[in-house]
Amino acid sequence: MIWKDYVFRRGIEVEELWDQMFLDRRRSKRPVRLLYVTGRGFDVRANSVMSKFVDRLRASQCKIEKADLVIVGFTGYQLSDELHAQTAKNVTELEDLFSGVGNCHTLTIGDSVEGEDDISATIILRDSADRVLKHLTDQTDVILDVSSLPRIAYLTILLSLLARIIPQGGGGQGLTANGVTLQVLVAEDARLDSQISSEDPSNELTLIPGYSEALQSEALRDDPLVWFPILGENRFAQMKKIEEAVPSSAEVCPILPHPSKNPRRGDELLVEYDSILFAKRETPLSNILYVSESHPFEAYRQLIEAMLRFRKTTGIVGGCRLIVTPLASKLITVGSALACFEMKLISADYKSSVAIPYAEPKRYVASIESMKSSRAEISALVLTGDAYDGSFQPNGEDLSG
Amino acid sequence: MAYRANPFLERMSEGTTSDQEFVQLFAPKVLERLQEDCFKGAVHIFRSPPGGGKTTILRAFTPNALRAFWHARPTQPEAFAQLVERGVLDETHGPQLLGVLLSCASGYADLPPGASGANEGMFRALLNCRIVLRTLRSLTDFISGPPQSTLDSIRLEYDGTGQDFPAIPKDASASQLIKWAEQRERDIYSQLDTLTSSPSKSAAADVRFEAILWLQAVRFIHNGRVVAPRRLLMIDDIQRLRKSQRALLIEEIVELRSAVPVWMAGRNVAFADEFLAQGAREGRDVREYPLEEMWGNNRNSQQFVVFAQNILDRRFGLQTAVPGGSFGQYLAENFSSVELERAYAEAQAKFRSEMQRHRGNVRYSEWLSRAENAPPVVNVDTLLDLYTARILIARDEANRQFSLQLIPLSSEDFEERDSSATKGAAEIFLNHELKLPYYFGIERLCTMSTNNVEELLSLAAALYEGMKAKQILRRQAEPQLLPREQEKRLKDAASRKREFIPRSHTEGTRAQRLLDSIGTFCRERTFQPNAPYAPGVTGVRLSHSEIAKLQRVTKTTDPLLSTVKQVLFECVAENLLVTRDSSASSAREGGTVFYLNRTLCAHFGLPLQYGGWQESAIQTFAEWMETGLQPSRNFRLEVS
Repeated sequence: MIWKDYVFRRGIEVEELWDQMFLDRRRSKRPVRLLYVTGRGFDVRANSVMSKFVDRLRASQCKIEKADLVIVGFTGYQLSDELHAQTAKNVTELEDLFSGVGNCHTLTIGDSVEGEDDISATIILRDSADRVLKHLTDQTDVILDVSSLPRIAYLTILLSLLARIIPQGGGGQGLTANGVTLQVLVAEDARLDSQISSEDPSNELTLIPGYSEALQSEALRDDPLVWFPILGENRFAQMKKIEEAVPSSAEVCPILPHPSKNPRRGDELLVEYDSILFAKRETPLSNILYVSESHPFEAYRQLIEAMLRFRKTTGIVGGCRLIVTPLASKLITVGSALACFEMKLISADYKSSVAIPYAEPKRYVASIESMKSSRAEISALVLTGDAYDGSFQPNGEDLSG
Repeated sequence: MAYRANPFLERMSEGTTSDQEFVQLFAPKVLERLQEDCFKGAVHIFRSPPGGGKTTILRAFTPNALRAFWHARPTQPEAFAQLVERGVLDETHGPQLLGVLLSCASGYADLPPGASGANEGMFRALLNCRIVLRTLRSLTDFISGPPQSTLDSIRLEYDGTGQDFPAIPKDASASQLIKWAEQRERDIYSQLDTLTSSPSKSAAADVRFEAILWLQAVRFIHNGRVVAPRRLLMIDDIQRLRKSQRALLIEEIVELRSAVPVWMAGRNVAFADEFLAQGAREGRDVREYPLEEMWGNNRNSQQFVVFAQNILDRRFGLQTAVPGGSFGQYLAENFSSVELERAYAEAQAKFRSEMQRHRGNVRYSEWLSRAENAPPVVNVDTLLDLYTARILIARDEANRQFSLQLIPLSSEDFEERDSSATKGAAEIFLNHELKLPYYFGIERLCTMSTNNVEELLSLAAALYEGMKAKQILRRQAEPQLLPREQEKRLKDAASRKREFIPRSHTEGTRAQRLLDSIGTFCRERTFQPNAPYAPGVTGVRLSHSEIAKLQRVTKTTDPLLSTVKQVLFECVAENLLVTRDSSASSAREGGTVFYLNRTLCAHFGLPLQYGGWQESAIQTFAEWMETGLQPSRNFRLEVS
């Protein structure tokens, strides 16, 4: 397991973690070369995350050798005029916040693929990840703030960054990754998330680049298939779209957020998806997996262990195909992405390959008032870097989760 | 089977149904409609909206399904006879045709875009290795033995025509060839994972679709004899390819002039640009079969009704909750006398109040007395007569505004002016005003499905739930679903279909707004007192020049009309709108009529017949799509 030990902080502890990391950097006299990737979205949470990060960076008095901000924008979404205005305002704020630290670059997903007018979303995502990776040169710190990025965008970027920074997973240099610290930041507010509704799922099922073979390969077509839908509220249309692509013979293992702040959340989700999971597919209740709603590494562990179990048991018939559909919160989605990344690495023999299909909504509806009144809690997942070299002990705590 | 609780919810093309169940559910009428030349070496394109039955047809010709047809010959004699007649099955030896089925919904559209040789080469390479792989796997099914030992016992030979296919190893055994194909597919995926926009020079790339030539040239020797000499390549879901890939595939396969027939199946969306010029590509080597037209045009859909009833009865036979052999026998076709008498009393009252102003008019005296004299027995015709009289008087009144004719209109005049179209209008007026059920009975159920099997099944599923409920509640005295009960269930299903549009389409909200507007517009035109477009308006027409304007539009030149184009294409592709050519006349140029899906017609309370349409314009479509159309206040029939 790559992240058997991990670094995960939430709330006030996040800023303490940054202080420790920058202090360590200053003591070892190593300058900071920063790449900060965030989204050009209507969600104001990205601004508060960056504001806090830049504050701590400045306060640390670390030497900043270079810093680049990549704001990833999107086309093709239907938003109200109010949300469009909020998006523009957010970008200006982000650029202002970062202007004292380094350079800002804007990258719009979907505007650079030329040649044909019916390009698939997977190609566009592949191209976008490619363009983000071009900014990754000799940085020491890479921050991916997923707060205002659509799911397919941050999954693609995160998995591409991981493939570049730790191509061998836990092997080789291991998670130290030559001192490149990759952090994923998430500002979550479950109340606000439940108020942002997404409609009109794309007619075309999008497969995260690099994670498509299990669903598309002719060689694997006759292999058994295991589907892990990670359930979240208000995603019925997307779930239905994805379900149509999953053969009915598939073994379905729904993943529920439990424990959860709302103890009835799991039950409510089962009711919401009853027609797909139970009325139609007759999924056995014993197939349900439970992961903590606020702990991404718990989701990672549960999912990777379940995948490995299936891989082992189906090994007798030549392996199986695995499909993960993350529809839950951002934290759980990031955790499941880590599991998919690891599963792909250990499936290099191409048996038990893993796919991540998604039906991206085309229209978001949200209230500006509820966004402004949001009290999001920041979480930080440190995935690689100095934190894993054994000598770094933030606040003197043990690394293991 | 997960759906046994309601057998109408299962899709036959799904891999879940076993081949035995597939054969049991398969309605053989579709085989009858397949043209004789389908098995000749050419490219045959089957197209329809989703749920039109494409994949079901293709699956019927895969080795396992053919074997199941052969085994089921005592119980499925009709399908068996059809397949024997076409030489696909042999009475003694079973399957004679090796059907190789591949889907394009497997990553081709995610290959690097652009018309470079490397990109096109990678597309060809991926399809080539998959054809080889699927052919060999289908061969093991054809021979019907344990896959690995069967493969090991197959010898590959090539005919002496000198046909060369350098990309495919010619001296490999069947097992080695499978390994080669698997590895080649894997290499292509590895290349795609490198996250670069264009493939590297070392990436797999083929110069032509030579797996088709390989399929034509290879001989399979098993136990010393040649097996599966007849082959059929079936490529499904071609709408999932990019436009350029689709064009390349069709063009190059046609150019190969293979002796192996190649069937391609795709949704109408793949031919979106051509929905205005249907059949334009048809030629000697490419033949198109629009599945919805296989059942005749929409005005004469009797053939589809027979096919649909067969499908429904086969599914009905799978369940045990409702006894009996036929689905249709549980759908009542007649009203009760109480219901009719109540409706007649109401209709008569409305007639009197509406005709009050004509009381002293000698011109209508005979017609009025004819309509008002209550017959000894009330039936649907007497009800229709009342409404027909109202319509004919309204028409006469509109036509003679400026003339002064005082000669009374006779009963003969009434008969002369009455027509089936006027009767149709009267019937929908009855539904509109008195809520007398209109959407019921097996024929109307089939019409509502718009020649689409999936829609038929979803409507039947709703009715079946009602039949089952009656059984559970032990109301055996009336086990049939009454017209009112049928209509309620069908209209609920229609509303659900409409409500689901925003959740299942890329531009769903806009598509729903446009369809709602068309529905509102059609209602206003249909329910005018004189029923000028009897039985009613259910479509809107765009002239050729309007459509040409739409085709020229691009995202950059006019984003709004470009969205109209996309929404319209998507609605046509998804069967929400059905297109029909409209020929030119001395007063107007030709064009295309966009008829509402018949299930949606039920949602809007419109008649189910085709034929009534109104001229429109793309600018109007744009307004409807963006802001919708509100019903006007002077909706007379509704007010009255």
